[in-house]
Amino acid sequence: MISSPFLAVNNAGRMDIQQENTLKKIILLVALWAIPATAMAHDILGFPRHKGVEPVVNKKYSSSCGECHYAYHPGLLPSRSWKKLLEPKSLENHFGDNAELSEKDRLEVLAFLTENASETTWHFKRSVKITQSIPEDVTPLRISEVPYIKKKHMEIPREMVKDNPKVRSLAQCNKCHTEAVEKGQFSRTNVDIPNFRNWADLID
Amino acid sequence: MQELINPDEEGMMKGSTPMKWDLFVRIFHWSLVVMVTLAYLSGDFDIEALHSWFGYVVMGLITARFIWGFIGSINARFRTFIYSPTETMAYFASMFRNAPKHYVSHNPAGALMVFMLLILLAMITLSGLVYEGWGEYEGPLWQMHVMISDQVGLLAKGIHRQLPEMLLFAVAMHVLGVIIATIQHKENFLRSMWYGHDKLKI
Ligand code: HEC
Ligand code: HEC
Ligand code: HEM
Repeated sequence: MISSPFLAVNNAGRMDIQQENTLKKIILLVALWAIPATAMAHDILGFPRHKGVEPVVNKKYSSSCGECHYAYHPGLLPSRSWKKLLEPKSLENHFGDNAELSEKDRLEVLAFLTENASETTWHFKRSVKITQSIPEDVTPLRISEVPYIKKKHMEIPREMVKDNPKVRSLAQCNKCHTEAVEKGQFSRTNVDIPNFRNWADLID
Repeated sequence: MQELINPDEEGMMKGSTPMKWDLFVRIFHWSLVVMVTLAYLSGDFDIEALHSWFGYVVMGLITARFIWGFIGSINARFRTFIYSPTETMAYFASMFRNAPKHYVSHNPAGALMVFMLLILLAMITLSGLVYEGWGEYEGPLWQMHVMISDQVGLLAKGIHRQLPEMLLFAVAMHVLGVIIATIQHKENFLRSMWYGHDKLKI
């Protein structure tokens, strides 16, 4: 009957109870703590990451770009996107609006945005993912067109966004993400869609 | 419960019953309890960096259990506790008569539960892995540049949202089943899962 070495454990007699208890304790300790500990070490030492995007502010940027929508965190787009958005020509026709700036202001805002763009950080999680998700030969002009951001909102029905008078567009991040502006936090645990408090039950 | 296939009393404590669960099964079981709890909580509270690690551990545990189901000790083998539908129905009938037939390994009701839990966990971890590769730009699938369509990605996300809730329900049923069985069989199942064998019939 007993032909495989693995079967030995079927017979309690092969190990005395004390040996077995010691072995059990060792394996339990290793199994239960080594792996999460590595995970945490990985998180703290090897990969220190903040949850959101960096909540940097710049007065000139906030006053120049914060009128019509909140002044998007620079870490939400790569610098090539900011450069393209801030070309004088594109500012003249900024999604149908005129967002022209004086040359001095434009350069200051551009410098701030590119210095803090998504690919300049490796420790703000959302920025890293945004950078990773955009193919190298693509320059998105909209944060809402970034693959990572797009995928995150695919299942949200139209009536919660476009047809929601308190939101109107996915570009209005701060209408739903309550800790976005101040903390740069975007998590499903702190979303509050206006008129749809119970969005989680409706989407799931 | 005395009819173990190859009882070997040598080295066992006086008065204890024969070995029911081998060391692997016991470590597997309690590690799974701890890790699934941690995976569930970290998932629910969006502690993402830790969540995927707990998930991987669960994945490793159930993979090991799957292998052990073929090469492990007799009581731990799937073959031992795959029962025919007739036998399963007969067990449920005897259970409702409050005179359940005794089994050395899992009884048919418990066996159903075990397969249910393992299948749920396999689906949860696999969907988590796919969702991680598609939507989070992380993990092995992302690192290996596995192309995942939006359809598959969304499906994985949906599964990974729904099944953990089902898992909670299944775990509750599992615990309830053990309580009922403990009373009906007058056997201390909890002790068997910790020490490997029941001390004495209670
Ligand atoms: C006159 C109003 C106005 C000003 C000023 C303005 N924007 Fe906009 N911006 C818009 C409108 C309108 C949209 C389109 C929003 C939509 O589609 O819902 C937009 C969209 C954007 C988007 C894309 C959002 C998305 O993800 O869909 C970015 C990025 C952006 N603006 C950056 C800037 C920057 C940088 C500045 C400062 C140079 C600026 N905006 C100033 C009106 C403005
Ligand atoms: C209509 C409300 C709404 C708007 C507007 C919106 N979001 Fe979201 N966002 C959500 C919801 C709801 C989720 C959670 C989706 C889910 O988990 O299925 C989410 C998820 C996210 C996530 C992932 C969070 C996580 O826990 O994984 C990020 C990142 C994010 N949004 C960024 C943005 C950015 C950047 C913008 C602006 C361009 C934006 N969102 C605009 C509702 C919104
Ligand atoms: C026992 C195993 C697991 C359990 C119980 C579990 C449970 C959960 C739960 C409860 C959530 C929250 C879902 C919600 O918002 O309602 C979640 C999210 C998530 N899980 Fe898991 N999970 C497991 C394994 C895994 C694995 C192996 C991976 C892959 C690495 C994974 C990846 C993810 C990701 C990426 C999310 C975030 C979803 C989002 O933000 O939308 N999970 N998980």
